Amino acid sequence: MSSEITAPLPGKIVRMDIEVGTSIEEDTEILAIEAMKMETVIYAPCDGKIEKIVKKVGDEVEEGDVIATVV
Amino acid sequence: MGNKLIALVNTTGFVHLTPGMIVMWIIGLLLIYLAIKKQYEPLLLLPIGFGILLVNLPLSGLMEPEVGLLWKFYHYGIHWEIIPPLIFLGIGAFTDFGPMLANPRLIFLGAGAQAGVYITFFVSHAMGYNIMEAATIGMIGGADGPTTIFISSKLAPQLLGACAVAAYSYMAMVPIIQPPIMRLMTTKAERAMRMAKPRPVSKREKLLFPIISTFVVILLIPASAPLIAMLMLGNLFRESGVVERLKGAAQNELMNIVTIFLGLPIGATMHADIFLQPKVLFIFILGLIAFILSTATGILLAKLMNLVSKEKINPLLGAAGVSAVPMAARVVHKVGIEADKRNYLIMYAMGPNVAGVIGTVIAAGMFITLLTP
Amino acid sequence: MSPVGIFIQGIISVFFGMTLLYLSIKITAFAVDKFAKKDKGAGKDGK
Repeated sequence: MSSEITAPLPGKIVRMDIEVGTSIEEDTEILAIEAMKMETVIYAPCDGKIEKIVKKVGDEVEEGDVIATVV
Repeated sequence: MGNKLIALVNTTGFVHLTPGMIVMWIIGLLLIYLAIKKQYEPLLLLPIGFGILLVNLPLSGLMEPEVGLLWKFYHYGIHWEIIPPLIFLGIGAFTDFGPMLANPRLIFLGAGAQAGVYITFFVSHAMGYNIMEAATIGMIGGADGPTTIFISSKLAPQLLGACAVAAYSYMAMVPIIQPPIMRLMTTKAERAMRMAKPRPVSKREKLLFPIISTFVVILLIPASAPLIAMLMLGNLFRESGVVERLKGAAQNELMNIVTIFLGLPIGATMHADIFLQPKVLFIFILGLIAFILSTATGILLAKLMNLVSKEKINPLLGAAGVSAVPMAARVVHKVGIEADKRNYLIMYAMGPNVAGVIGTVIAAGMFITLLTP
Repeated sequence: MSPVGIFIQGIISVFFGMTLLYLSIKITAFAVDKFAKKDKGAGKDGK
């Protein structure tokens, strides 16, 4: 079963610490989004392996946009 | 020969120096230092600091009525109420009212933080400031520079320099002043509280908002018209999407130009003879109290709203009701993350933050209505 | 006018102003929503 990593707030992705195939654990830092000139770190929602990454560094995201999927 | 030499020496500024002027040089240099080294509101504190130096150089005549260069900037820019409304045009052009429209309830937090303004007004008056001065000092608690300058030029021009510097320096220090109060007044569980996802806001609503709010606010408080009119015109530029050039000019070029003509004459109002009085210096303490109270009343209102409402509000959002945009909202976000690293409050906090700007303008308009004959 | 009077009237008018603003946002949201629905079905975006 796969789950999604979504953007919890609107802004620009400024850092991405994951790539396809990376194993992640819940609560590890996976990326950072800049909103209102302030960087916010986003943590992994669950354990798993990155299956697909939809967005890249520099992309503007809206709240709820899918950034990556995890299996 | 000796007489001539003395006459020559007398034409120089040196013999007219007073200790007060030298104290003011130190204050001016301190502001310049804070602007450059610490980057505290450098766009304003740098020209203000330099203006302080200039006006405390004897015989320069820069602030001499009718002829002095800085006097003209002051008179035609600030006294004639041109510059603060133009700054509001720029603020309107870069402010997104979307977060506020998405969660209209949070508007009231922008009003709650204004209670600090009125309490400080009351305290200042009880301490012996006259009623006009007290209103101006209270306004510092709104954390809104242009509005503080606007009301000061109308009600208490003699305090303008001190009030403007207090407002801008405390705005720069929001990340230091607010968090301790926020932590003191909320439990960790309250700070960690997550907000419900806001409703989507359509383009059309964002477009209609500046027009409708202009009607509502100006009909209610006509004295707030100069500031609200410009704020909403700037926002209409932004949301209409058809005047990108005007929007850009309002928020960049024009804003930068008026900032120069705002900072320098503000500094120039701070002559040693006017500034170095206990009454003026005490403004800095009262201004700080105003800031603290505004933060506190915002949080209290959020808690009060939670008592009657089913959908709970994270009380930290109340602190964003002070209109230091977006500093106060950022502080809320950071304090929220401290309590729960996945609690992202920034977009919710922008709602009360921009509502705070409108609230401060209404408060200022109300003071002007009640206090000017 | 006395300071107490200004204090009370000031606070009331700020809250009154914000209430009016709140109501006008609510009414606009409602109207835009209705209008958009009549216009083009479920389109909520108003674009």
